[in-house]
Amino acid sequence: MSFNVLIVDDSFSMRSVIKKVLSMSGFHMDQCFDASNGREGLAVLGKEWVDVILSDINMPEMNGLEMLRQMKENPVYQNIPVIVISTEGSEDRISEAFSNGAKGFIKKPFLPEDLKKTLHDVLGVDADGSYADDQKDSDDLDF
Amino acid sequence: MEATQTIRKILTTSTFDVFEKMFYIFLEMSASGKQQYDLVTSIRFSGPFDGEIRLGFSDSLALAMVENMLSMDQHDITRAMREDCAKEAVNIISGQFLRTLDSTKIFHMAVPVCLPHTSAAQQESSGQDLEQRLNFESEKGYLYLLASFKGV
Repeated sequence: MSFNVLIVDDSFSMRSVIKKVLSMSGFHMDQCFDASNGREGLAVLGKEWVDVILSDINMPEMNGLEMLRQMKENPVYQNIPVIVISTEGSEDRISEAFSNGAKGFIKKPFLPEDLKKTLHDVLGVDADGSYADDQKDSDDLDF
Repeated sequence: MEATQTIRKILTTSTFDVFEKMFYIFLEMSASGKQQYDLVTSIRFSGPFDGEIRLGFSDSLALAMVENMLSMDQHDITRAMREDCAKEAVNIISGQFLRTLDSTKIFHMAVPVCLPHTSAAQQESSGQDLEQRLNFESEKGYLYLLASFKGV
C-alpha cells in the first residue's frame, strides 16, 4: 500500500527534510505534493487525491489552523488525516489543532523516529506501508 | 535575577538542541562575539510578554547547516537556501524556548525574516526590558543569539 502525501510548510528546507525522512524510513509514497501555506495546500486538495497531510502552523497568507478549519467544513476533505508539525507546542495550541481535526502533532525539532511513530499511529501502517499488527488483528476480527 | 538566569539557560539549551537535531552541528559557548556575521534572522512574538529573538550566522555555519540538513553539496547551495535554513532555525529555537518557558501560555509567533545586512543594526536592539546575548562557536563557524523582551 502506498500513499499520496501533501507537505505544507513555508520553509523549503523543512519540506525537503520531511520528504527525505519519509523516503529514508521506507514509507511507501506514491506521490508527494508540497505547498508553502494553507491556501496553496487547499488548492492542491482541489486537484489531487491526498491520503495524508503533514502541515506546519505558522505560515504566511493562511496558517495551518485556518487550513484545518476550512477542511473541517468541507465534507470532501474533513476525513483526510492531518499531522501538524510545528514549533508552536503550547498545550492550548495543541488542543486547538486537535479540536480542528488534526490527528497527530509533532513538535519541531523532531527526530525521524518521531515522524515514523506518528505516521504509524495515525495511518495504522508500519513504515513500509504494511498494516500494523493491531490493524491486522482488527481486520481479522472483521472477517 | 533568577528569571534572567532561567531565560538564559532555556535559550542556551534550546539552541544546542535545535542545532544538534536539525543541523547535526554541535555548538559550544563562546566568550567572544566579535566575529564576522554574514546573515541575521529575526522572529517577533507576542503574548503574556512580547519579544524578539535574532540569530547571527557566519557564512561558513549557514553553509554547513544547509549541507547537513539537506545532504547537499556545498557548490549547489544558494543564498536563498542559507536564508531559508537560518529562518527555520530562529523559528524552531524560539518555539522551543517559549514552550519550555511555560507550555500553558499561548504566544503568537510572527513569520521569521532575514534582516538587512547592516551589521550595527543586526547586533543591537532597542531599549527593551530585558536583553540576553549568547555567543556560540563550532568547528563549522560562529553564531550569536540576541533575545529582547518587553513586559517580562
